[in-house]
Amino acid sequence: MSTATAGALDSAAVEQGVSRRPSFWSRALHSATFMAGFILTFTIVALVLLAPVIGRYSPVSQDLLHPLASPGGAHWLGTDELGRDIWSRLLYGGRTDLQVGVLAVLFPFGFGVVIGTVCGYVGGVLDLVVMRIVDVVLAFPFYVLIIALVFVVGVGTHGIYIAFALTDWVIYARTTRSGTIVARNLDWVAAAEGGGLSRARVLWRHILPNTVTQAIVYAMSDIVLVILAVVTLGYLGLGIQPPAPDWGAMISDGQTFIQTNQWLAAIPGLAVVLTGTGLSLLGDGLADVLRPG
Amino acid sequence: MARRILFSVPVVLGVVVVTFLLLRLIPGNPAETLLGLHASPAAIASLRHQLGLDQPVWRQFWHYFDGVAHGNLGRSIYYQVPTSSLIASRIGLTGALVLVATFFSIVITVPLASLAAMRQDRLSDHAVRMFSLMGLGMPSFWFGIILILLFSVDLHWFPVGGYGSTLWQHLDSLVLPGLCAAIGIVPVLIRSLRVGMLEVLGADYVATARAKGLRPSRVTFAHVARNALIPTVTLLGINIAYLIGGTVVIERVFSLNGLGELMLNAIGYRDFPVVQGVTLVYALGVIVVILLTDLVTARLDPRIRLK
Amino acid sequence: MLEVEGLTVEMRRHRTEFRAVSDVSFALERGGALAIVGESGCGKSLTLRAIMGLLPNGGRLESGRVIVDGVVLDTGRKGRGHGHRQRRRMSIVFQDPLSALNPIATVGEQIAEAPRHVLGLGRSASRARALELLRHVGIPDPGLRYGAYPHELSGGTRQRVMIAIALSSDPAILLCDEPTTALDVTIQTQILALLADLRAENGLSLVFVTHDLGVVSQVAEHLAVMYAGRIVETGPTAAVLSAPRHPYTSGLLAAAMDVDTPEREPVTIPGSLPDPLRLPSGCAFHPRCPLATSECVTTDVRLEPVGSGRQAACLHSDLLAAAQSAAPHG
Repeated sequence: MSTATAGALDSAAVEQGVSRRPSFWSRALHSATFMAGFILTFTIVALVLLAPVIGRYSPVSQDLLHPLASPGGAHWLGTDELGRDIWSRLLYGGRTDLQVGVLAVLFPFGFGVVIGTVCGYVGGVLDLVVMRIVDVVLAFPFYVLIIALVFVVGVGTHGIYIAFALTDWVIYARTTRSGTIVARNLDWVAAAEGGGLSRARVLWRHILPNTVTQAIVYAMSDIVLVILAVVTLGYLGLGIQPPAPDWGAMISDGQTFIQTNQWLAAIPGLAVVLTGTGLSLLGDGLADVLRPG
Repeated sequence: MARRILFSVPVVLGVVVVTFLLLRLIPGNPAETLLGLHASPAAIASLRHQLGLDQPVWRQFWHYFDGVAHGNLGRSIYYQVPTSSLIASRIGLTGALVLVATFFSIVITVPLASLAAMRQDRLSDHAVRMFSLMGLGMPSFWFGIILILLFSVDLHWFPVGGYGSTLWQHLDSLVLPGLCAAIGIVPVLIRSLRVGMLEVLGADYVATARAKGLRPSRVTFAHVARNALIPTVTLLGINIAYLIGGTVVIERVFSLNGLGELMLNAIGYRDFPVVQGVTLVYALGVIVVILLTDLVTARLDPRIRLK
Repeated sequence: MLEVEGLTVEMRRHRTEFRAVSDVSFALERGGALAIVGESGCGKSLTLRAIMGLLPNGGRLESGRVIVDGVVLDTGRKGRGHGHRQRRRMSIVFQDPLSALNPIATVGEQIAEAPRHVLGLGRSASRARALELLRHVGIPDPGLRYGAYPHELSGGTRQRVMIAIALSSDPAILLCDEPTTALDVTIQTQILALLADLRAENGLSLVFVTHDLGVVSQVAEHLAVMYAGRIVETGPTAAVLSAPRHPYTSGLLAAAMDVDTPEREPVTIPGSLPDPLRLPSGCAFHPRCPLATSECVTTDVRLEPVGSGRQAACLHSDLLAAAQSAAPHG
């Protein structure tokens, strides 16, 4: 920019207006995507949390006199081959799957963001080593690694948590690291550092807020990914172990009867799709709302 | 080019190390855990020896590494044949499935993403975005079951499972599974490619091209399409690992006897060497594919070429 | 040669529409040059794009006509219409040559493209034409440069390439959107000299958009000043710069950093640029204008003649004229 040129009109000479940005909630309420996602997710979460109240049967109690009942009547969504109420199993299964999905993301989120920030800020040997490890983890196809890990450390929720803790942190680390590197090269950060603020303070107050919001947006899609994986593992028999209900296992059970009782396999799948849609809408909406300008 | 291969070497090493470490992650006494509670001490000792657990760690690793370098991936406990032969007999199917799935991914994603980008904010854009958003949460195996229901059972268009013996039968039996595996990444691809295409469409050089007075078709092909190809290939490279992983479950749904099925069965038989070997092969496959996409991207984009 | 009448452009951003260009009109004679000045966001770039029929996504031509050599151009829906055939009389040079050039095609190919596919020359003929154009715009060693990619060239060379591309379709009118903004001062001077040469040799008509007042007197005999999407003053460049008839123009001139009198305090126009979504009523400049009266708030102020070949959109422009003749502008 030729500020020294006679006659140049740069913004320094003519004041630029600063428009005030509406608050987070006002933007959120105006975003159709965010609201749709929020409502859908909230509904699903509410339903599964209220499982004990609105599920009319225990999810594990069998009623061998009424197996494979069609939807309608006493059993809203029918029963499976052991006479268990589908609606209740759907609710309780959702409870487990959602819970595992969210919890399994916590450690990767926390660890990934922290290590990514440190690598991005400090750089050096640590950065080099950690990024190589990230590359190695990413070289394995996601499901292959998860399945192998679950096989090795043991099936069930316990295995799931460990498997994700070991593998899911990498994307968080990578994106947080890039965000941190970009942020620390910005002029105002250099100014803050030069002004005498300690490194930790700069990190905490200036860099972290931006990168963490990015990570949170990603976390939404990650939860969808994890739920999909939990359901897939359940389908393969490597996930949440019976008799605890799980959408994946329900689909697997239902597959045997696909020709005669299609809804057994179809309904849990639809539940997964709906949940995924709600969370994805919420994630997209969040990204829209948090985007600057 | 040589540099890229060089950079892959540490990753390959890392992958080998990780697969080696898998054994050590088994809680307790690995041989005992693998054989179960009713195993005799003799069987446990024998397995320990077979797995090399009675040796010091570094010798175990060297033995493993040496084996891998020579193509020796151990011996299947269940089948009692070299793991590598098991893998070799099935890798063709899985490879073909991945190719078919990749083909479907491109064929579905590119037109839809282009449509959405060119008709930005119109109905078709919103429809494409809505469908791809819903697709994000859809389990591909469930989609497979629905597909089987519709196409094989009701309409009898495609086989319900199995691979067949002739080339035509092979391809025929890979259509539905390939479609399913593709669905695993198509939503993500569409979302990303749409953004990439919007960038290309809105680029100043497209305006320059139009300003020249070129026919719209020439602008589209010579300028938009060729530039949009670059992010497409890059995106494909990034997602191919996920695609490959997805084929494991798809193989089970469609009763295809590929690497994924081998791995899942091996898990059932607690056949550790096979699980380990297959995992390694999958990872090496991904690394090769990523190298290939890097190569193609460099070929397409002169900005990267001469770095 | 070129007549623009009542050009009005609506832009859509995040589901709200606003008027980015309002009722812009001007006429350009054959071989003449017009500079359009204004700050970022005043709509000057969009005006050029609208004339070319190249509005960006989200832009829409609400009304207006573009007439070239007596022929009304069909702007089509959304201002994207210009049949590709009609575009040949005008060319545009964009601000940032790095983004305005196709990154994956060689520079030579891009210059040869219009001759080959629009003018219908054969492959070797268009290559020859491209080489000739490279020479014409002052790029040394054209043979070597032909096979270069945009990212391999310097900023100044890239801009020359842009100009070569603009010339390749043999236009009569050249629209320049801040072609020198992204360049060093020395390169800037070279490019401006090149444009002047091209005008002299080929009889090109020129519309030159810039935010740099210091450049306009070198480039164009006529000047139009834009504010908030409207033209607020037009006239011969020398006259407008020495005796402005719109308060905004005088404000700009006063605010321009004068290198010759560094001891003078920089003068700013009070207030800030209006939000295009919420323009002030009446004259858009009234909140910041020292001459504003209640009339300025209520009247829809238009361009009115204020002297030989000059126009200003101000109710009090005669006050300015009076003040200037009383105390000489210094």
